[in-house]
Amino acid sequence: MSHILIADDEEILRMLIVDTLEDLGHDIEEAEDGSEALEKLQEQSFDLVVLDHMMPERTGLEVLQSLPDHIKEETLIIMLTAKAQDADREAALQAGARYFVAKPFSPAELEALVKDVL
Amino acid sequence: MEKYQKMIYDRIRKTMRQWNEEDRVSEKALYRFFHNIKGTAGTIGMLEVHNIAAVQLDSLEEDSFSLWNKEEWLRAIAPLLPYVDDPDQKETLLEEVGGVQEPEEDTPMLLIIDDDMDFVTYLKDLVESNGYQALVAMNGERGVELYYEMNPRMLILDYYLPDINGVEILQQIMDKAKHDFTPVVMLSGKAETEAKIRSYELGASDFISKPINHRLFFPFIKNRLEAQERIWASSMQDELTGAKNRKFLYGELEALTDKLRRGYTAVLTLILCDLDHFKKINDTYGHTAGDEALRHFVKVVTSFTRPGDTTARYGGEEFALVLPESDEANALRIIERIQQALKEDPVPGYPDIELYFSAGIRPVIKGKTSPEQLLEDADRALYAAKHQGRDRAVVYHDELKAVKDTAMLHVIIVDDDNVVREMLEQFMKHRQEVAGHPARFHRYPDGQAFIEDDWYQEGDYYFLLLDGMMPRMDGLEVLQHLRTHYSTDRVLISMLTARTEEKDIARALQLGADDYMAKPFRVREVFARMERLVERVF
Repeated sequence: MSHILIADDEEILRMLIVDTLEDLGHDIEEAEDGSEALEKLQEQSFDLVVLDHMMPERTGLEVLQSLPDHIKEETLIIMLTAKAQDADREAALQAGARYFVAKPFSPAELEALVKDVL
Repeated sequence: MEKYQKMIYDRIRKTMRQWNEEDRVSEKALYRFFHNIKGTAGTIGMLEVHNIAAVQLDSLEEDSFSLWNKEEWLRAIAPLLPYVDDPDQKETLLEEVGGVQEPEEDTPMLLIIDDDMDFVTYLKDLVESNGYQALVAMNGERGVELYYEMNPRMLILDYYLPDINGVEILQQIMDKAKHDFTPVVMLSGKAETEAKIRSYELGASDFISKPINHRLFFPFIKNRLEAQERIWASSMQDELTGAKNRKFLYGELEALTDKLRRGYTAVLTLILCDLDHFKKINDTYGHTAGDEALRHFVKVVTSFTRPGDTTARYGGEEFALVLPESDEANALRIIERIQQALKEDPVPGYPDIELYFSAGIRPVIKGKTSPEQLLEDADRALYAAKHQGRDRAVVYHDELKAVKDTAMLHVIIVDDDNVVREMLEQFMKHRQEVAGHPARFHRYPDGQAFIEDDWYQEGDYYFLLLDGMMPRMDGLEVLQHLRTHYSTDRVLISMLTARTEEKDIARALQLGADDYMAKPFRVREVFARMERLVERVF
């Protein structure tokens, strides 16, 4: 069982991801915006983060840029981005994101990726 | 996935309620909303919703400071609603927030005849955002044709046109315009007094200088249309033919069915007649000849009816005969006499015109019935007569009930934009009928694919939504091909164009498009327009 943080301001999507990953037996935390995600990442240790890029307060990229390196090294970071945001993708990669999933995605695709990387 | 789909619905409802409370909504908020919907809907398998959100998103700016009023944000959100409305909910979301009004069935239709494309697009937009429907002709000949075909409520006519001048047009249409009390508004940038005098002499109602003042223009239009309605309401006669009008017909049928119900009279027969191939007469001999033919027909009919009978103009070339105390045999006898007389007496001034008609007969003996029922029954019989080859009469019987106008309407979208095709298809999927015709939907990704396909079938109707800009063969080429190879009676064409492509719009109208719609459009609006055109033409 891994400790996973799901950060997405879109409630429906967040619930879908939570449900999908909980079914795999993981322990899930949620964050509703970038600031909450950053807080939780600094307070607790996670094996994996699913981080939406377009969020209020702080974008996913800004969250990454504010995180100390040691946290980024011990946490697998999956970014959710819209297809068009290629430039952001490049920056996110620089800032420590490891995997990208383009919205819209199929839940099965995310499930497979999580199984694969953990 | 159903759970999440329900959540999308709740989400949209919540957003609409919230926006409804606010005076204005920022474009940023709209952007955010559609952005989220797009991402979420795609993921949980609501592809149409995803596509629509993507289309809307394209026209929104993330960093815009614009504020949208209710009508504007409703327009943006409305295309989503058919896919998310909860069938268990009594009210649709649109109704709940006091909705965008669906265009009413009887939106007054105005005809604009003007070759100045900038002005025409401007005026059409203006007129339609004020609740009217506008048809456009770019030259005089097409304008006259549309005036006779579509019976618009009002005519807005530029004095200087490329092919014929305003005076000549007035000469061609004023006969009908006077009889229908159609307000004819002349427009001109540089009208001399002489032109105005001629126009007024011929019967134009108003002369307005360009540029028009749009604040003045609408109260003006409303005024003219109301005056026209008042005249209609007080009139019992069809001015053109001298027959009674619809209003009188209803009153007469009302009184007679009432008598029948109370046993004061035992029998009554209603006949609906429709002149066969009337459009061909107009096309071949001109509209003046067509009008003359209508008058002649009424004259012949009334020479065989008795004093208590009623002859009324029911529609363009459709007439109703009400024969109290007459049965089926009487009706058939009268029809035979009329047919005979039409063969012997030609239309005055047009000896070459052959006038035939089809008739539907509805006899009633005692009992309860209504004017609506009688007209519907007679119409069925009339349809059967047309169907059996025209120039004949059919008496209504119960089996005809099943036979309605079964001519299939094919709604065809030719557009290389997949999202547009998808949106229209989604909307059409749930409709088996358009304006009383059974309807089928077809889609093609480009003009070539459409032309090469075996799409045309004799006897069916077609409504084409044709994108202007397409790869391989563009919309204008397709249009040209259609207008040279197929009958305009069967194929209606509406061009879909970008608002900015004025040259294309002009060209399309010149090539014989019946209508045009500017992208981006609301799917519902596209269909409302289609229904109105189909109703009038087919």
